[in-house]
Amino acid sequence: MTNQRIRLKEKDAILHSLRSGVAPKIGIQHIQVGRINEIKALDQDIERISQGGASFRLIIGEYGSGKTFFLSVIRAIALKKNLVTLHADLAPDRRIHASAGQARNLYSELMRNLATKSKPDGNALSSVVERFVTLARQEAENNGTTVTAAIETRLALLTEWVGGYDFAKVIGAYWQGHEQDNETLKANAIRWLRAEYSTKTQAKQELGVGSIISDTTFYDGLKLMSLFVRLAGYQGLLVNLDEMVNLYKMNSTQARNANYEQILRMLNDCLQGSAEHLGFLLGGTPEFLLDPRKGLYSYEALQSRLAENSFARKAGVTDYSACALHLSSLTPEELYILLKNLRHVFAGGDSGQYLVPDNALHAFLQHCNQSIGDAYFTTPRNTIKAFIDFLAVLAQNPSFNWQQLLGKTTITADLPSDMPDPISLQEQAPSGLKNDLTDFKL
Amino acid sequence: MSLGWQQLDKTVQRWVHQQGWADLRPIQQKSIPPILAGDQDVIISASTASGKTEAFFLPACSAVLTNADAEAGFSMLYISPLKALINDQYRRLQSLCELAQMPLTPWHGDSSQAKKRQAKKVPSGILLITPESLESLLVRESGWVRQAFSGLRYSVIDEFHAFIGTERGHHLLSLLARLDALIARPQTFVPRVALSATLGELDKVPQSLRPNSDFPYTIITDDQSQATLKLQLRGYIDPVDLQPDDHRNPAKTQICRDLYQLCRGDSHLIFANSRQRTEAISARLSDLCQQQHVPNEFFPHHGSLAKELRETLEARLQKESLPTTAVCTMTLELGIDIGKVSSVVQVTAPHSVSSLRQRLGRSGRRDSPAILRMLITEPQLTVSANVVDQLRMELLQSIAMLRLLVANQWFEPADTEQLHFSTMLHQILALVAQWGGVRADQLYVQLCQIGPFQHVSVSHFKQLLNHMGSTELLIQLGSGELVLGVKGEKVVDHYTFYCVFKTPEEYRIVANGKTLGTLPIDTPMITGQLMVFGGRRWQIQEIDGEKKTIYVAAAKGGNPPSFGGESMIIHDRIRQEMLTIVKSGEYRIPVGDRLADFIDETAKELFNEGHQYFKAQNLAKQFLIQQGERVCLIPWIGDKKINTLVVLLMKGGFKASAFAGVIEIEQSLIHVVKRALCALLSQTPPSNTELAECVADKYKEKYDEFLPEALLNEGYGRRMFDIVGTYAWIADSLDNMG
Repeated sequence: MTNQRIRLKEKDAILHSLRSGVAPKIGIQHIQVGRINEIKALDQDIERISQGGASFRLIIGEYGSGKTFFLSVIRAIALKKNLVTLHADLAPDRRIHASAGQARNLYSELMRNLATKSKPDGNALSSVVERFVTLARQEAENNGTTVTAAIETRLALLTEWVGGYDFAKVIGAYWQGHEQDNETLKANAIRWLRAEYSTKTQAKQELGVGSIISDTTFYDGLKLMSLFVRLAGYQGLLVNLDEMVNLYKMNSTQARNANYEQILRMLNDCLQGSAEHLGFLLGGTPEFLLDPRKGLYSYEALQSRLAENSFARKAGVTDYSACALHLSSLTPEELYILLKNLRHVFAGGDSGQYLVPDNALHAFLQHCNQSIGDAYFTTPRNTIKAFIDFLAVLAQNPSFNWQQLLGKTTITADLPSDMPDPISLQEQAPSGLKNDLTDFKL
Repeated sequence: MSLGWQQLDKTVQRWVHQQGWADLRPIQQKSIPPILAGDQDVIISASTASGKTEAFFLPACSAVLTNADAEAGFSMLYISPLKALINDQYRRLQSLCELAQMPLTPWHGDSSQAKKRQAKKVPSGILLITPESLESLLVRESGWVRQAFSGLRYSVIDEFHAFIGTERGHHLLSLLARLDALIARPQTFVPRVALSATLGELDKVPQSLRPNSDFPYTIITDDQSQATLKLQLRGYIDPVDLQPDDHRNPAKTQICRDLYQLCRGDSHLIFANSRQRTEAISARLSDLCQQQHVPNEFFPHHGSLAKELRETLEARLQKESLPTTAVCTMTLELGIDIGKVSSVVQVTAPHSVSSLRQRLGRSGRRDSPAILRMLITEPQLTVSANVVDQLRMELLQSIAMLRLLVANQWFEPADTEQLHFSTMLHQILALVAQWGGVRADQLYVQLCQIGPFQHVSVSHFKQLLNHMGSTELLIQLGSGELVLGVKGEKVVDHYTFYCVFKTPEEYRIVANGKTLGTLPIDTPMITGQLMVFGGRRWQIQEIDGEKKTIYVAAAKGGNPPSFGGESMIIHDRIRQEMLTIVKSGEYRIPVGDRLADFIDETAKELFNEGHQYFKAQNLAKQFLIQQGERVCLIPWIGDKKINTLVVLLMKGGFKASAFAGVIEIEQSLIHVVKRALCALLSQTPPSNTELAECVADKYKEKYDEFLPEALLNEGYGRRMFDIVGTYAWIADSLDNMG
């Protein structure tokens, strides 16, 4: 453990997000444990994207194995390498293909989360457009042309792509708004880019373009964006789609297959070289990939492309260049290192400030093991949360003895569901409605 | 104006004035405080046309107007079992809602798309919906539902008595609980208001409205005495061995002639129980009109008829300008406001006392007496006539039902003891489809602890989930969440998923490119065959199995098709009443200090035949009769116990079958049967579930086929058998016989 100081901003971000069960957006390098080979593989992917290539990866891991965390780590690397990143969770109302606005919803969500090196927290779409305009201005100055002409030249490339003509027109409208100090026009242009127009009529009235980014143009819109961020001076675009299991959960085979077909398009474009400066990371559980009835494997064209490398399997090694990257759960040893890292972060990087000794970490893990069994390391989210809470209490009450506090620490198993827990009318304690179905296995 | 009036909103008061009402009716006055308060469930139980609808909507609209929040979506959810009733309430509430500037949206399979779209965009005011449409919204658009109902103030259920204890009732309660869970307002639960015909066992109703809860409630009943009632039961003898030149007429002909005489010139409802009989009678009556060269006033009304035909008839009844008689099944039993009918005619014995009561409520609205005629056919007795005919069981049962209804004010209590596994399976699929991935423990809490499936144990639930897993209805993710399996997706994706009750696959019947209606496909149909449909005769030209369409052309003569439909289980109390009557020979109803006679000469003759036979066979002491090689067991007990006895006898190696409460045991002798019954008592009785194991076809409800065998047996056993009661009866009867 280095004794490098950890900035307060990073410390707070890490601790706050982990306590609420989500991956931190910054400072992730301080707590990342293991997965060196996987990170290396994706580091190379990002390198390839910035050099004009494309990448498509499925990040597959059981519930709680840290997919989202891993995606955040990769995103941080991409940002560092001057890529623009987009990320969103799929949900019942956010899909890749849909007919009632769910794909447009996902696109909007991605655009809201658009992040750059200088704005890693997201909401960076307008600064990307702004940067494009600035570059165009410089070019106009250098070449002695008008800015409008410079923008047109730069955007000419886009118009060859599906929907590119209107995309270029919207950027043009932004510049017009910029020039005329018309904030509304600028905001409308950004709204259009975020796919927040739901009708063509309105887009026609307010921006003079005859099309909108809709359910049917989800992927084409992303391709245009990948070109556009290049024109704005970035190295490429990384799109992280998480919670892909939501496609698996869809009720209609037909609708699900339509989504899988879009995934196939992305995969083909990325692997066959027709996409440039573009990468996709899709996070999902094993059943999302492997289930032959409902998973990606149920879509024949995808199964053949995503099939495991049988040579690697026979040789007993992992092929880190495969499309589907399987993340194993943390081992108890890795979790121990993670706790050490957290203790380190909590102490602001100063080992003199550690709140508990190493044997407290062991005791803590053992305590968790007794409470929830293997889940303490297979789905470590609650273990981590409890540990930070544990440290927080100790930090505020220096007189407390950690052994005693540990005895009072309760840890609950992480039980995911899309449905909130039902509330009973009698205000019964949640335990009043407990039944022994909690660990039900089919 | 009366008490409570001041509390109503000014707009609502103005509307009441516009109606020209002198005062609110008592139930309307009593409903004002609890509904205005909005902090409790309310059950309004009163007879048809007593102003229940307004009893709810006047104070509810007042509460919403006084405390309006236009942003909060729908303020009232009105659920009705019938589309027609929704259309009717829509008409009824329109003027009030216009005055109050409250949007009113009817929402069911056949309602206006434009109105639905409007409500979809700006959900507000009152939504009138069927349970099935609500299910469809929850499964397909739960995100929208959560927003649209976030400010819901009341859920009101019309015709609540029709829901209690039924599949749809359980579906409805589960929907309400799921809606509560979706809009998730733990502090302010949406009060539920039930509008119902008069109910028995009122104290149990709140539990049926909100299971497993101590939420406060108020019950409001109509204390006013019933209007006067006129009753007549007419008997008909169906002659045997009719010759071509016979002067006698078949009972059908006699009945139709009488119906024509009784009903022409005014508006009536003729309940004929089966769709087939409905078609046959209405066809014959319109033939009679044609023969007499008078305009036809007789029309059929049943669930298989095209919507347009049904609605035309309903509208015609509502207008009250033309005399109209509807020959109908239970479709017109529930409270569609079809206006005043002069009388109700029941052809053949009713299914149950409670359904008879519903039907009676259709007649004599406002100030005229209710008139009920019951036309009962018994066959002419021959030497070989069986016990059921000898005892005149159908007549006896009809008299008993009338007496129970009129003299005892009794009707069958709702059966709230059933497990409803089929409906629960449906709700498991629906919940999973609605949310995506749900844990088993959450499903159990939502459905069986908060929801209506209170009799279902954790062990039942596990068995069911495991079976659903092994049949690919569900699968489990590594995280423990249950999601729909491949098979489950197919079930949920099918357009019939949203309703929990069985709808048989039906054929469309088309004449000259126009759809007349639909017909269940289990009816055998052959090209060239003649049929009666929509009150007219047709010849089948072509049957298209793929498109499920039958093409027909107008024709003369022919037999009506046989429609599906099953009769209800006859309650113990009815058979007891039958025994009392036939034993004493006194069927008349005590009114004050005299006895009211209500049956005609033929019926009297038939009744006496039954009474004489009862005495001759010494059935007061005996419950077994030897008829040649057959033993007849006449226990005067309800059908659950009859079913149980039959299965017990069959298990004991007898050939037993039951008809109208009489068990026939082929090739046996009285003392053998008696010995077998004695022997039963010495053994440990089998459970209802074990009895069910002997039954081959147990698929009663829609999703029964997906249940594991053990649960199917348990559910079926509980519904169809009563082993404890049966053993008690056996012990008692053997004792009495000595």
